[in-house]
Amino acid sequence: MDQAIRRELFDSAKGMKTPPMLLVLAVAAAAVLATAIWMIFFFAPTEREMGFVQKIFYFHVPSAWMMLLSAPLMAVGSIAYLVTKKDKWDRLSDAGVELAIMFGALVMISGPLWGRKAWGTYWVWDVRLTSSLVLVLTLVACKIVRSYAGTSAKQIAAGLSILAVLNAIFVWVSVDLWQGTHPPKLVQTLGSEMKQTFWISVLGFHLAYGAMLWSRLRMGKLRTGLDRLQMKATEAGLDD
Amino acid sequence: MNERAITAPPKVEAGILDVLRDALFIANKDLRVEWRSKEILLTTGYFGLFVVLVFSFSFVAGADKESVVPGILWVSIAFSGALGLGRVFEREKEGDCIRALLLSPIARPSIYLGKVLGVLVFMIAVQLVVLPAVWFFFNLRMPLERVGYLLVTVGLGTIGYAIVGTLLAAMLIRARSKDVLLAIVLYPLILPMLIIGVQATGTLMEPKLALDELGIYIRVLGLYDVVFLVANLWIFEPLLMD
Repeated sequence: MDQAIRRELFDSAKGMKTPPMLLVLAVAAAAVLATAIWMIFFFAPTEREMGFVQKIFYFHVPSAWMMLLSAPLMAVGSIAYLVTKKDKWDRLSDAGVELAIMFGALVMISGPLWGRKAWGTYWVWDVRLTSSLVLVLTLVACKIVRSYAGTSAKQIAAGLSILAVLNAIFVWVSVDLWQGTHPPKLVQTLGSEMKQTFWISVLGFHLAYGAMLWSRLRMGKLRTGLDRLQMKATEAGLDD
Repeated sequence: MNERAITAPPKVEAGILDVLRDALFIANKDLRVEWRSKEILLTTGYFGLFVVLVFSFSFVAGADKESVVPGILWVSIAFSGALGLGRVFEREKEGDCIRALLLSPIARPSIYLGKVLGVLVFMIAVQLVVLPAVWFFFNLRMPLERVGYLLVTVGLGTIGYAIVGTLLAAMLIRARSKDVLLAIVLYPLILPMLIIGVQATGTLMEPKLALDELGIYIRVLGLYDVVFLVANLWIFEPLLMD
């Protein structure tokens, strides 16, 4: 009995090794992002009107895209979790929520710095600004609820993240009824060197996003596995 | 494990009419309980009055009524509603009534709809205090036609509030610190309703009424209600499983 448990613990510990592809992805992401940063400062020309501050754009816009990318991820994860009650969907939803909060925070930090220079004010009640803010706030609330709601926390978190996505769309519509000041389609207007820098940066963000999502999903899975093992070990009388 | 087996939902095949009938039944039950104690109605109605008063004191110096009144009206609705929402499911927890409710041969959507109806009636009652209070303290004057539009706007907003708020309150019924949690999830989710409500009320206070603009606001409010009602009916079912 004791031996079998030890064997199992040992076997599952072996399964916790980092997959090589994940390492490759992480290294690629780091390399591309480093290139992007080099290009931002040394390759792309300084913009005429905005000057140095314009360089925020190369990180601001990809961050916002990553935040938007998380929305369908967590919606799919949440809906699938509510239907199937399988933990893997809950992990997808949770990972999506966390990544959306992280990239959302990047957007929220870099945006006002840009806005101060471009519009002379840190914050305007624009469509994108408001809906991003509300999305991030709702998702943070979702995370808080997940930590403190107790037994049915997963279901609640799933329900809330679906509502958060729906809500962001509505905030978009409702604020759109006011006038927006956010620059709409800036990417097309860029010069070619700026464009190259921008797309390298976007690529780097996508790779980093993939690596983070993968790691986060793996972490959730490992945590569940660890809990199970701990339970088994305790049952078998292996206290430490 | 055992608990889950006890509260496993009874499989109920119900047509739309049955669902509505059962929903009315549940709403009727809630309202009858409330009518006997008048606990939620009195406390939140009184609280709503105080929210209006506190805002009136804060803005009493500014003569710019048009920009202040819509905000005060909608914030008062949002605050007093939140106070009541917390209580609606609290009552079901006393004596574990919620389990009896979930065990009864009633489809889950009926329970949700019934609760929404109960919350709605109760919020309308609170607004019967808040609206006249705003009217009175800010000395509003509006032609009858605009009053009609205002009631439509507030009504649609209240329906959306009840739809979203009831789901959240139901979600958090077993949570430990549910009053705080309800507040932090409720306000971001009702924000679109608040924005549009405030905008629409602002339009109504303008000297010249922009009907087409108001029409868009009212339609978006209606859409908000419909979309969240459909989504919540779906979310509610798997949510209250255990």
